[in-house]
Amino acid sequence: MPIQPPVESPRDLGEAYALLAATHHRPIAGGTDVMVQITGEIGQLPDRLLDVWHLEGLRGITVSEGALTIGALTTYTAMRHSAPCREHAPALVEAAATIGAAQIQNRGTIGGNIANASPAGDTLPVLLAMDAEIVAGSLRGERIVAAADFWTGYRRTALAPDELVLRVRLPIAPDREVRFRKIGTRRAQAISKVVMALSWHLRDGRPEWRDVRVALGSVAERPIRVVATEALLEGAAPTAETAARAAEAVAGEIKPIDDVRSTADYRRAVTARVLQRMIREAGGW
Amino acid sequence: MSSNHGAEAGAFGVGATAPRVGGLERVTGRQEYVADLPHGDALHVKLVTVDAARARVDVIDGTRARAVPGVHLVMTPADLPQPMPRFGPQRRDRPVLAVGETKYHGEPVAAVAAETPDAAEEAARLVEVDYEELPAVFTIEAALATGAPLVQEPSLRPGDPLATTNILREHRYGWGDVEAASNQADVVIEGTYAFPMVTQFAIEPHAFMAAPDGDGIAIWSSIQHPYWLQRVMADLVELPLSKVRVFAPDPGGAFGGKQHAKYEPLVAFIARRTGRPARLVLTLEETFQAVRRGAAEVRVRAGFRSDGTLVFRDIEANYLIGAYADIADRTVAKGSYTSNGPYRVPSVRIVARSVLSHTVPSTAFRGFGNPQQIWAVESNMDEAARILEIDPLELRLRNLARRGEAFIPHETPADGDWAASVSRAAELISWGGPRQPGRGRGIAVGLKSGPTTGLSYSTVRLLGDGSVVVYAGTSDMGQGARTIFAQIAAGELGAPLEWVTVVMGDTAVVPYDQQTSASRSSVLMGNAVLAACRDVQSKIRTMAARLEGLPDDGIMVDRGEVRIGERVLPIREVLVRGLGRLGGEVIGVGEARKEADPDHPLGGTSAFYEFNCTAVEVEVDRDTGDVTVTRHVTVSDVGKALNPLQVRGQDEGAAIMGLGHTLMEHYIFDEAGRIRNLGAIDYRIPTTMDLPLRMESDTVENEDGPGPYGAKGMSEGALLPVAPAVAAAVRDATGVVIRDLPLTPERVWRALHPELTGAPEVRQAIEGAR
Repeated sequence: MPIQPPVESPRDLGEAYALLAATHHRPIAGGTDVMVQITGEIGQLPDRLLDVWHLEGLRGITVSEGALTIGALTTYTAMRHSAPCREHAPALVEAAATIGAAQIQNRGTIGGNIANASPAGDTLPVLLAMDAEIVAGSLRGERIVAAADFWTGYRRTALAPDELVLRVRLPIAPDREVRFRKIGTRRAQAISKVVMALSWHLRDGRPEWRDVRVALGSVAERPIRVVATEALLEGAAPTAETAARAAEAVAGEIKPIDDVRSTADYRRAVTARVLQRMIREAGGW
Repeated sequence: MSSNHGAEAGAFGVGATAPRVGGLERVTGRQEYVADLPHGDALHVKLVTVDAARARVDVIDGTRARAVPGVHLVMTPADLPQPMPRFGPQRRDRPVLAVGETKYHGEPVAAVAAETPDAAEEAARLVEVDYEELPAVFTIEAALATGAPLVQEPSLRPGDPLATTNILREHRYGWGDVEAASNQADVVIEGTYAFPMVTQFAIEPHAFMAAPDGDGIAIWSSIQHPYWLQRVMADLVELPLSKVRVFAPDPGGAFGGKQHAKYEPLVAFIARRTGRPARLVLTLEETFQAVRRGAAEVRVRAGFRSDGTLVFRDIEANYLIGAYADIADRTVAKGSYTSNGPYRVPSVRIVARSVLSHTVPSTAFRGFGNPQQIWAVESNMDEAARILEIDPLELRLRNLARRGEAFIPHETPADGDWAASVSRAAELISWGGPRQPGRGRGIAVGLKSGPTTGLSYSTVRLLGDGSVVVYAGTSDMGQGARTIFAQIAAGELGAPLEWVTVVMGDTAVVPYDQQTSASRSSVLMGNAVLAACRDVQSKIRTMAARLEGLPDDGIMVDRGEVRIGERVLPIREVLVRGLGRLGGEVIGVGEARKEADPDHPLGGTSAFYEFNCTAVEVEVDRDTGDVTVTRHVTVSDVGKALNPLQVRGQDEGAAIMGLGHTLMEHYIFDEAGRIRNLGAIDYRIPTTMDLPLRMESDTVENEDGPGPYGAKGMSEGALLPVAPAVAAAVRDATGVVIRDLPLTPERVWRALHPELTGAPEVRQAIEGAR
C-alpha cells in the first residue's frame, strides 16, 4: 500500500549505492521532512525509501585541510553541541538552533536539509554564504558540487538519481564574518518567511568588504544568492549609504511569491530591511 | 494514629495547593485517553470527504474500496435510516453523513470500517465520489448578500421567518433609549472590529468508539458532556437512557470543542450495523474540520461625555457560524447579552446575528462568544480614551459597575469588587511608570456570565477505614476538577488527599451532571460534593449521638472533626466505632441546582461572573511588524482560590491561548472555501518561545462567589481581554490602530508602512483618529 512504502536499510555505503543504482529510492535519514510528507499526504508519496540512518560513516564533524567537514547524517543537535562548528561556523549553529523543536533537532540532519532542497531550508543560505562544497557519492565515485550550483529549481538538486549526499565542506577563513537572520511565522518550530545569510571578508585591516555573499531562503523557488546585490556591496564599507543602496538593490533583485504564509510585498520589504539592519549592525552605527 | 491522620488531612484542604490528582499520569504518558483504550476486535473507521466546501454529491461508489482486504463496510447515506438521522444540541440539523450536498470542507459523505487503520485509510481513498462543486459562502458579507446560496434548506427550518436567509437567528437586547441618548453624548466613537476563525487545538485527538453492549450500546468519547451525549444517542438509536452507557475518560484538553456530539452517532450506527465495536480517531487536520470558534465582525458605536462618562452603546455583531448550528447560536446569544461589559451605561442596544456559512460548524470555545465582542468593545474604549485624552485605565475605572449594581437590568448584579482587579493589574505593570522607548502598554477588561442553569448530583461514600470515594459526573479535561473535589471531600471528611478517589466518566455508575462548561464545575459540582459530604457528616453526627447517648444537637461535625462539647474527635474514630462489627460505610448524596428562569432572554440569570483585567507591555519591530509581548499581567476575581496553583495555571493558560488569536492564529481559505492552512504546519499556535518575556498572574479573593467557601468559576476570564490589551499596547507603541485580528507581523507591518501598501488597516486608523 502506498501509505507504507517499502523501506530498504543498507548496512554500508556500498549496499546503499547498489540499491540506488538498481532503482529509484527516496533516501530518508531523520525523516523530519519525509515523514511529514507521508503522514500529511503532502506531495507525491515516495515509491521506495532508503533508510540511511545506520550509515555511521556519514556522521561526524572534522577539521582538516583548512575546512570544517560535516557528515550528512550530523543532526542539528550535534552541530549545536559541536565545538568546531561553534568556532568555525557560528551562523550555521544559529540556523540549526532555529529549526523545529528539540525533538526535530535530534532527528533532522544537515544532509537531509541539503537534499530535501526546500526553498525554506534554514541552513541552506548559510551554506551558500560560506561557499560550501557538497560532496556526493555513488557507485561511480565521489564528486564535489559547489553550493552555488547545487539547488537547481523548486526542490530540485544537481544530484543524479543514484547519488547520495555524503558530507558538506566549509572552507575555514579566519577573516570571514557570517551573519544569519530568520523571520518565521512565530519564534520557534516555524517555517521561514524570509531567511538570510550575509558574509564578507575583511582584508589588511581595511573597512571595505571583500568576497561578499548575500544568500536568501523563502524568496524564490530555491535558496539563492543575490549576485547583483553582492556586486554592489563588493569593495564597499558598511556605511548607511551602502546599507540603503543594498536594501534597494535586493528588493529589486528578488521575485518572491504570495503564499499562505506571507505576501511577495512583505517578503521583499522585509528582506530589504533585514539586509539593511545586518549591514548597520556590522557597521556599528 | 488519629491525631497524625488529622494533621495530614488538613495539609491539602481547600485553599492549599494540593498536587494535581492524576497529574503524574498525564505528564508521564500513562493516562489512557480514548485513543489509547484497548479496543479488542474493533473496526477502524475512516471518513470519506471531497476536496470542496460545497458540492452536490451525485454517485458514491464503494466497489474498489470494498475490495481492499479487511474492509467490512463502506457506509453511505443510503445505508443509514431514512430520513437521515440528524442531531445537534440546539437544532437537529446535522446529518450523520452529508445528504445530497456537502456543506463545508471536510464534511464526510461516507465512511469506511476495516480491520486495520491502514486498510480503512486506503479504502477511504478508493471510494469514488462523483461530485460537482457548487457556489459557497464563507464570509459574512457573502452569506448576507442578496441572492446568496442558502446554507440550510428552508425545509429544515419550518415556520422560521428567516428560513430563506442565511441568518439562523437574530438576538436583540438592550435598555434605555439609544436614539435619545445620542444627543447627550459629547463624543461618539465608532469602529468595526474583526475576529478570526480559530480552532481549539486540544492536544488529545478527538476520539470516538461505540460497541454493542448486551441489549444496549456503549459509547466511549473524549466528551465534556457525557450525559447530554447519552440523551442524544438514546434518541438517535431509540433506546432508553439506561441502555446507553457513555464512558468519558478524562479528555486531554477540550476548551469547549468537546462539549457536543460529533462523530459518536456515526460510529454507533457502524457498530450496530456490523455488530462489532467501531472506533474513529480524528487526525489534527480532521479536527480543524470538526471544531472551531465563530468568527465575527462587530460594529461598536459608543457615546461619551467629555469627562469620559459612557452615555450609550450601540453594538451590532455578525458571527460567522458554520453550516450546522451545533451550540454556536448559544455562544452568539450569551456572548452578546453581556457585550456591554462590566460598565454602567444608561442606554444600550445590542443586535447579534448567527450567520450560517459553508464552513466548519463553529462551537463552544473558551470564552463562549465573548472574546469577539470584548475585542471590539474594549478596543473601542481604547480609541475613546485617546480621543477624549483620558487615561485608558481611568476611563475604565470611571465607568465600571460597583458591587451590587444592576449593570444589566433584571440580571445578577455586579458580584465582585471589579475595580480591585483593575487597580491590581495596573499596579503590577507599573501603569503610570516610565517605559522604554519603542515600547507601549495596553489595558483591557473582560466579563463573562457563568452558567445560567445547572444541575449536578454527587454521591460520596465514606468507607469503613475512613477513606473516601467521590462520584462526580464532571469531565476533568485538564482543568483539575478531580483535585478540587478531592480537596473538598478530604477537608470535610478528614481524610488525607491520597485516600480520596474521584470516580468520573461512566454514566452507568456516576450520577447525573448537566455539563462541564462555563467554568461551572467548582461551583456547581463543587457544591454538590460539599452537600454530599454534609450528608455524610450529618449521619456521622447521628452516629456520634448514638455512641455517646447524647441528643444530636449537642454535636457538631465540620471540616473532618466531630465536636462533642469540649471534646474534638476525628470523624474516622467515630466512624470505626459507629460502624461496629459488620463494618460497612456511610453514603451521602448531594445536589446543586441553578434554576432556570423562562422569562429571561438566556433562560436564566448568571450564576456568577468571570471578571479579568489584563495589562501588557509590547515592543514592536517596525521593520518586520513583529510584536514581542515583554510583559503580561492578568488578574482575575475568583472569589476564593480553592487551589491557588491550579488557578494560576488556568489563568496563565487562558492568557497564552488568548495570545494565539491575538498574534498568529486564523483559518485561511482559498477562493472556493477550502481551508488552506489545515494542520500544524501553517496554522500556528503559541509555543513556549512565543510567550511573553515576563508573565504575572494574580487574583482578587473576597470569598463572594456562590461556590464552596465563596469560590466563583474561573478558567476563561484571562483569555477574554488579551487581544484588546495587546492591540492597545501596539497602538501605544506605534500610534497605529489595528481593528483586525490576528496582529500578524505582516498586518502590523502594513499598518506601519502605509506609504508602501495603502493597507486598509491604516485607513481605519486614520478614521479612528479623527
